[in-house]
Amino acid sequence: MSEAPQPLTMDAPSFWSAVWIITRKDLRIEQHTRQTVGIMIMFSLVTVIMFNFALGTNLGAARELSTGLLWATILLAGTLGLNRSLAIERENQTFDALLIAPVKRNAIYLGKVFSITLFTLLLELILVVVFVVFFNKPFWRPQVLLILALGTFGYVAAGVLITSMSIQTRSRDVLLPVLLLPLSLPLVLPAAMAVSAFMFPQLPLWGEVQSAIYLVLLYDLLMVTAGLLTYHYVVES
Amino acid sequence: MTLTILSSFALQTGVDPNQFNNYLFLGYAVMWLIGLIYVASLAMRQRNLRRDLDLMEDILQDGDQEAS
Amino acid sequence: MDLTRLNRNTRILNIAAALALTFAMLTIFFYAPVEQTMGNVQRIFYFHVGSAWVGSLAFLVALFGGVMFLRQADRKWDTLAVASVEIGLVFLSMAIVSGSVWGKPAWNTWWLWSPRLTMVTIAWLAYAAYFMLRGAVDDEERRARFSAVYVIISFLTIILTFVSIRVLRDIHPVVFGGAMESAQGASEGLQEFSGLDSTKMVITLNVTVIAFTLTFAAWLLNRIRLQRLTDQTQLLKSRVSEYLQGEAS
Repeated sequence: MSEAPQPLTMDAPSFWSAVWIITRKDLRIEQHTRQTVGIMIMFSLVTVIMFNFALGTNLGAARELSTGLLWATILLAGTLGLNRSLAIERENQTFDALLIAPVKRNAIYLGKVFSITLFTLLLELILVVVFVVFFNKPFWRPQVLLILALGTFGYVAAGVLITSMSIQTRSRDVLLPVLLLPLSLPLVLPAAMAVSAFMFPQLPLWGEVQSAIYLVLLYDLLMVTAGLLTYHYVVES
Repeated sequence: MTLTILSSFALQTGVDPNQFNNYLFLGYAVMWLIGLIYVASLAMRQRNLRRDLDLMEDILQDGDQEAS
Repeated sequence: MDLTRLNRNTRILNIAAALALTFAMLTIFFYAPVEQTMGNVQRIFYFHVGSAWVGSLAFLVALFGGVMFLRQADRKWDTLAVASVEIGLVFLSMAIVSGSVWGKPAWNTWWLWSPRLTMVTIAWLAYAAYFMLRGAVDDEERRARFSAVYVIISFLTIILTFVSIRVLRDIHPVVFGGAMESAQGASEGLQEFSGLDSTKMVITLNVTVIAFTLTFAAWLLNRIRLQRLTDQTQLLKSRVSEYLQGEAS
């Protein structure tokens, strides 16, 4: 007795495999087109050099401010990356395809957060080199890199949510910094303070930086949670 | 004036209680100004909307009259 | 609330608020005692605290409106939210300006990045940006949805900012070095000067806060009514344009 033919079904991917699929897709696209990271790097270089000149060719003053400059550059370049990455989706209408696919909304969110965080981290590696050269401060320290990574993740977590809204508006790109930068303050403050603590020859004690790092982690946690909870309100069409 | 009277009853500790009165005046003036500007903005917006509403109702009424 | 009831309640509140504000002004200038260390300029404090308190209340109301809208997409929640944010922004502006004007004689500086002031600045920026966002979205339903999400994130940010700076300041008092220590200490808590030692001061403060709350309520109803009118106008506009197109053909 032959069975009735089974209809073709595709099992919906589990949450984490969906996230991974989306992240990998973005990385692959970027690998081929190299749009996003390239722009971010160029923008950052230009910005850093401009900051240098604006602060006068006396590097002394600039050195004092270098941590702040680093974060400012990351925030600004981040808005570029966010805009580019999410706009590409819209342009190619791959986004609508994603929405139809049996993928949970917040898997898309998390996938994009991971991919854009990775792009930004790549940018930051280059920035670190530039900053070490220009300002002669130990940004290369692994603890600094870790703080940068943690901070970037939180920023992008808030950023993906906000950018998903801003690119659907009439003002598009221009609106994003206005919306996002105020929201990044509670992240930048502790993050900059933590990084500054490592700019001295002597490493700081854990007790000195622990509050700042916990605050960054708190920001990450709250923003990612808010994003996961509210993302689907932002993309339903 | 009242402040001068009041302050004359204040302890004479050598500190003049009225020395910053311009700031006091400035502060209240600005706060009231902000409030009044907002109230005016509400009133103006309401008036403009009412006017638009009346205008449109007239247009539609004319339309109904023409139809009948 | 139907329109006639709204109109009547609005009128009642308008009058009540006007009376309360007048009474508060009288109380502030004739009843409240002269403060010992700073003199009469301290009287700014009453309006300053009143507007700051009601401003915060407004944003809580806006948060409530935002959350409720996400749960049930009823237009009234969006109206409540936009009205509250707008009014909150006005009160916040009053609070910031009055604080600055008071800060100059008190601490010899127009501005200070204290925890509260930083939090208030971010709040102001975030809520002003709220209007930029609204202005850029044409679709009504989407505008309301985005606004709701943004209000929630903004609120989260503001709480975090305050927590951040409070925590960091305790560890790194040096960060705010340059500004006067007394100013730092002074900028915490309600008792920003020699203290609310007098009962008369407390009473005056309460009177002012009540007056401001009534003003908030009055403005809220007015703004909600304004929104209803706007919605009505939008509706009529589409009918009129349909009619005019019919006429043309």
